Amino acid sequence: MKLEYRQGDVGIDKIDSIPSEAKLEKRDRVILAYGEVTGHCHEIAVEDLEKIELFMLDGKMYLNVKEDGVRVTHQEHAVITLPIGNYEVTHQREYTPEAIRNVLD
Amino acid sequence: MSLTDLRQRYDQACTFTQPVNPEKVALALQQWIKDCGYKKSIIVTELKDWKNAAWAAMDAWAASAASAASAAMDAWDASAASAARDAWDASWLSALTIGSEEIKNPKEQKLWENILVALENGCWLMWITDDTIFWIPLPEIHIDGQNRPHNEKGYAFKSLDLTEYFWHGILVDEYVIMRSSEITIKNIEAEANTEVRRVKIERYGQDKYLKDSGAELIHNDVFGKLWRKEIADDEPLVMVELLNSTPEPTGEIKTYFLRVPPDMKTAHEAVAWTFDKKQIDYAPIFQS
Repeated sequence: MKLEYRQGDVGIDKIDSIPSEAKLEKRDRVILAYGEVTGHCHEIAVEDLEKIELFMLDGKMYLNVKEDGVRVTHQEHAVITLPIGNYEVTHQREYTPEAIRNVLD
Repeated sequence: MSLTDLRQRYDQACTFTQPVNPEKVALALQQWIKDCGYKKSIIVTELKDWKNAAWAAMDAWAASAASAASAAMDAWDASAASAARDAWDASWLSALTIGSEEIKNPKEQKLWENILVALENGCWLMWITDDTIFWIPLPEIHIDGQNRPHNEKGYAFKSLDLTEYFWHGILVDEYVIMRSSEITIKNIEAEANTEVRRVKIERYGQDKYLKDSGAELIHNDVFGKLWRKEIADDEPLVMVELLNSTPEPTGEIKTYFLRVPPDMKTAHEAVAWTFDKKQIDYAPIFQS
């Protein structure tokens, strides 16, 4: 699985299909990651929410983008535009001798 | 009182966030020792500092076998219990009321519920002598997301006049948290404790430590720079230096460092690892 899109500490991997056990969720906002330090967030543009379906499985987020041009926004990064397809959202991580932990921006 | 209610009360009390009510603690402890079958009158005294707590512990140690503590021990009837003259932990003892309810023993349930009430009103540790129950209130504890003592702005543990400083579960000196500017390269490299040394490096700033301590640039490619610093008696510190894809409003492009496993050989491999990818699978077609 190749990482194709990246916005700061969030990766968006193109995948062939979304796992069948993943559950469809309806949300008013789809936030891919919160910046716990800055309060900023990586988010699907609210105007584009009807173009996607959000699925969750074991805390992982999957997106089914049904129309081209779905925008991922962030206060400090340029907008990423996703074409039609299935995606898995990943988070950048950092090594410590004690544990691997997600990067917080 | 149902088992569910008792468990809820216990869980809430074990958050250690409740206010301290000395009057209610005193009433609950007096009722408890009476229910234990101790006939003499007993006073309940809140301790204000750890010096007096130490004296109370000594008094409890010296108390005779006929003390109130023995009565309480008999009531406990637990063969694996610690000695009666040791400190009694209300958060631990309160669990007995739940266990008693589970085995449908209402007398025991009522007896140990007194301790749960004391805990709910802020009692933590107790020492029991012939005529006095000394107690100290719950400590103030700050934790991280993994339930380890941690506070980056002050003490993580405070009990009476005792304060302790922790970084993600590691006990450190006060200056490491409160005055991290006092940490030096010399100080880091003289630190014998590996875990504390790691904390000091983190507080000093891992990227700053790399630069200031003469780390070696071991690889450089379009993805970034890979730095390595050998550390005595510990694994090396290896970090990848990356460029922010989006420039600052001023046009400046900032760099940032991420620590990666020590077996990384190239900057590309290292940045791929940060997204849980192999080097071959990390080639974003768009990034910002």
